[in-house]
Amino acid sequence: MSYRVIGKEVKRVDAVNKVTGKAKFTDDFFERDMLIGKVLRSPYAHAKIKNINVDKAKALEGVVEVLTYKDLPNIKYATAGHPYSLDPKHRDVADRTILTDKARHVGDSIAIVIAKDELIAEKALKLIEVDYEVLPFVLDPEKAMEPGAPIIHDDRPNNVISSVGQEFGNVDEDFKNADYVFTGEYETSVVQHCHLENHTAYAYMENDRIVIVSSTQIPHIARRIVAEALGLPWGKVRVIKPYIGGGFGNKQEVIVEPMVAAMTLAVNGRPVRYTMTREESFIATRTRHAMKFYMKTAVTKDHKLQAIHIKAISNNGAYASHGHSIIMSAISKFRPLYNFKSFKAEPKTVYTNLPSAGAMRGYGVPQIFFALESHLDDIAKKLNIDPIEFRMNNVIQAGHVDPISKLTVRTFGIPECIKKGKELIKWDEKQELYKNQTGEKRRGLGMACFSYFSGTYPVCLEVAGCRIAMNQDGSVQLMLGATEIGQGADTVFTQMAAEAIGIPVDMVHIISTQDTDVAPFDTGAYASRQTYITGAAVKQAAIEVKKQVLEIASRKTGLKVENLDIVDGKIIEVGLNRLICDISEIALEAFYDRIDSKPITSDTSVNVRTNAIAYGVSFAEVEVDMLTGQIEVLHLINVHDSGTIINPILAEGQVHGGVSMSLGAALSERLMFDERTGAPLNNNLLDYKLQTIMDTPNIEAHFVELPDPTGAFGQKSLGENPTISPAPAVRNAVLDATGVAFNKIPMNPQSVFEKFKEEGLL
Amino acid sequence: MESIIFHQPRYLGEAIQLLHETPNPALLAGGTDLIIDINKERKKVETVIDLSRIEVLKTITVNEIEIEIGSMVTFANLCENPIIKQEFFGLFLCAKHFAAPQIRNMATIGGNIINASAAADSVPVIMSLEGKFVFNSVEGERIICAVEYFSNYEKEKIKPHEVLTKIKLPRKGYLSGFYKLGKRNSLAIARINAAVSLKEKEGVVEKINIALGAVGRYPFRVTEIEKICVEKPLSYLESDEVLIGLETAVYESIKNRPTMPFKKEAVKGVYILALQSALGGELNG
Ligand SMILES: Cc1cc2nc3c(=O)[nH]c(=O)nc-3n(C[C@H](O)[C@H](O)[C@H](O)COP(=O)(O)OP(=O)(O)OC[C@H]3O[C@@H](n4cnc5c(N)ncnc54)[C@H](O)[C@@H]3O)c2cc1C
Repeated sequence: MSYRVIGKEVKRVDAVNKVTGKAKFTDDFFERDMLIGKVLRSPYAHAKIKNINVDKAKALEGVVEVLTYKDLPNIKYATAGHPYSLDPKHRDVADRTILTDKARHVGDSIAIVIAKDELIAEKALKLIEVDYEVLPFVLDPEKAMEPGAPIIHDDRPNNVISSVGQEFGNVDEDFKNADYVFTGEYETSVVQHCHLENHTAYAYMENDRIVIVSSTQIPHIARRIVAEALGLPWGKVRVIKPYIGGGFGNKQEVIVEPMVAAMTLAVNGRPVRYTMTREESFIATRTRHAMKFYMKTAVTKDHKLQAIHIKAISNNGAYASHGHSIIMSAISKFRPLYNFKSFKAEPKTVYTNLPSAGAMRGYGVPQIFFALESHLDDIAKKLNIDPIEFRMNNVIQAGHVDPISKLTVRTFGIPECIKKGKELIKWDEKQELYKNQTGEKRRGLGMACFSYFSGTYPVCLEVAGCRIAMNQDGSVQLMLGATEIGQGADTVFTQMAAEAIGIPVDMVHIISTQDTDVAPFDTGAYASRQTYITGAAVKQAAIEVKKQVLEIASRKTGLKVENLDIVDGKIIEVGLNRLICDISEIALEAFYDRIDSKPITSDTSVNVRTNAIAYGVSFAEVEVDMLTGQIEVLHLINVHDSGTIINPILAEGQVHGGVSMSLGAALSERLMFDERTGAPLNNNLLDYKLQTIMDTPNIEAHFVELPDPTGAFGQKSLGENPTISPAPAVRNAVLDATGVAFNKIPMNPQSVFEKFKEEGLL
Repeated sequence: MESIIFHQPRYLGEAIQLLHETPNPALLAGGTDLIIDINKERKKVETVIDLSRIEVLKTITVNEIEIEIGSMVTFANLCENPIIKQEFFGLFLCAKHFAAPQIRNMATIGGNIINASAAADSVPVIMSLEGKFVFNSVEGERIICAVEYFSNYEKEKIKPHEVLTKIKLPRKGYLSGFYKLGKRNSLAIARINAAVSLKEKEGVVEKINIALGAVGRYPFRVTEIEKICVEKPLSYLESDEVLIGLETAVYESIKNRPTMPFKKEAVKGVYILALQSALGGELNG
């Protein structure tokens, strides 16, 4: 298929606005008489509020209102940004209130101050007197499941949110007959999104409706959850989403919106803004689940994977948020990659007194692939076989149908991705070179594969709306409920509309702001869904517009619609390739014809009931300093199978960001907590070691383009994908360099040193 | 936060007078430690005297025997100064790897010294270069060498009415180097840092100064080890004796800390990298 706009390096539609500072983010909007909200946060990991006295705070000049749980409706709601489910059993766990009467982690929300300015609000927070009954707390999920552990939520006395698992085939049988059985234990740490823009929102009332302007990935879902949290009809809430400074899943959560809604309600509809500090953002939004995996794998003599049995524990922290969905995503999305005869997963998602974990780029899948891909290298090492051959010997093929989800793999680019990556990093040559090293600095190579989905089907509804309205000059407005969150969605949707209508990209005016009052319904940016799901809606709406244009052209010329086309904004006669007229002539007729006037628009929605499995592989080359325990990544190559690449330069940017996030998890990032108090130790960007540009190696992004027949333009997902495989690739490279298997990340100098010591290398 | 009285003197004399007259003033340099301490309420401050308008404190001057670095010289300034790069390479490296560009533009060498963190990057370098601190007050001038200042800190530390005005480094033609082990390559507080300054003649060590940081309450010199290196060939500097000596020094310094097992080993690598940077220019770009 040849495209005119798809696959081209079209400049981001928001580029100029963003680099010149004109693009408006939530904090760039100001309202008259705007008040500032601040939240009092618990200093204890687990404590009941015996008494709370806000009199002094209220008396402070400049304080307009102080709220505690007593002032708000006692409604439990769920914050996860999932589409609503008509099936009550399929809804998220509703376990929190806007303000709590029992603190479940350090940083839990106790009270709200609304004041004239930030300084007064901060002063007032200190005047609130809280009498806590401090309770025993638990940070470790395994300890949380022990009898007698502190109970965090009364309706889950064993602290287990869910332990639903999955299986197919006969694992027991396969282990009994196995030639080899391997086991391994792998663990990841709590990390955080660290989006540049902290959570922020403001709200005001217009008549009896609440208007919320928020930095969110999911305006339509936010609207529903705010209404639920406050017990309002959904139509009473309106959410507006301007440009946002990153989200990575942390804004697929409805966190500050119910708070600002409650604040404006408390002050008769006056505008109130609440912006989190970075320190708050680390503890009062969401984190990535720390997970522990116990893997047991049966392998035949000829190195075929037979059975895999996975036990996993996911540390969910204090509130369910996305809860068990995350580890369920992990055990589902990793499956369509290797050919296991039987599979059994027994995951547990457990409450602890840590800040809540929730959605974060990759949604559980980076954790499981760290475990699986490390495990496969460990097995290859024990069998003394090449880790790449081992994988190639076990991968599925196109046509594979997952026994549980019934999803079909239609395009499978892993073999090509591996081939390409292997050549680019000079695998064979360097393997030879790096044999038998003994020096202070040792180099090694590693790789890891992954599979990922495009959207959430069949677990969740996948619906997306698109509206296109043509102007008198033939240009169009493109209106979507899907959100631009920095990933470049607006640009690829613009390309898709331009492609499918047949006009240049500068004739597509995308409306970047979503306002739930006017934006078509779409559940938003998550699950790497938008290019695939919303893309289908854009194509459908664009085809509808094109049809209307060509019908008018047909009426004008007497030619059949099939003999007409739109190319670069011109109506042409197909075959002769003859210019008939400019599209603007048709548009003018559509508007102003005295008899047939009917402006050209389409307003459509798709319900996508397919999923396209995307793939990829990372290759890493590292140098380990044996004396200091420092690991330097010299080179990192990601090769992706994401179907048709809509915009190569944006795709590359997506890969760079994703890789950097994964390298942070592999090498330096970990949110730490004081074992004695449950308080965070490094909830700021100096002490939390997010990778800087100085830590970022040369990252290469490559693509193997196999158009997927279910993608509107052959596309599959790419958003979250790059952040899955770099960490295990680096870990495997360190294994190659030093012979030491790190089964816990991050591998920072001290942990590397300690492991070397344990292994007797020092 | 209560309101704070803020002074911004133009001249050193004015600042010294203000210091003399004001009870418990806080001197503000780049503010990269102080402002954070105030905001986090770790420090309660009533009066701030801002030094940023006093030009003399921002200069670097050179004479035959020494270089004088004003206390308000920033790490960005240090990076740009050609004499620092040529003759005090360790200080150049320290400045280059200090924090990140934004902080380097604000943070001063004086603030780094007076803040007296265990991990202050400039302190081991100044110690290894035999640097001295110059304090001024209404009582006059006090000069003290960096090693003495920190080894006898409770007695020698800055007095409430003093201002650090200069750091003097003798121009002895030392080859000097610095290495910092952090948890990432930029914006990292040192887990361990080391500075080495030495003089060699035809492959034989004439003099060496080794200072370590973040392995004790304050940075310190390892004089015992320095002594045994003199008149040995350069290769001796990477010998087991020296490395074990460093290990022992770190062990003694932080015996009871949980990081001791790691730091006593890692110090060897950090020292070697500092040494190599002194001998062969910077490694790793
Ligand atoms: C993000 C970040 C990264 C950092 N990275 C590093 C790093 O890599 N390495 C490192 O060593 N440090 C680092 N620091 C700490 C800090 O930047 C340094 O210690 C810096 O040198 C302090 O200098 P300043 O000019 O900002 O001092 P200020 O904060 O202004 O002052 C610090 C203290 O010194 C006193 N003081 C300042 N000047 C004088 C003077 N002339 N006479 C008397 N007293 C004075 C002040 O009263 C105050 O008590 C970092 C800090 C931040 C926030």
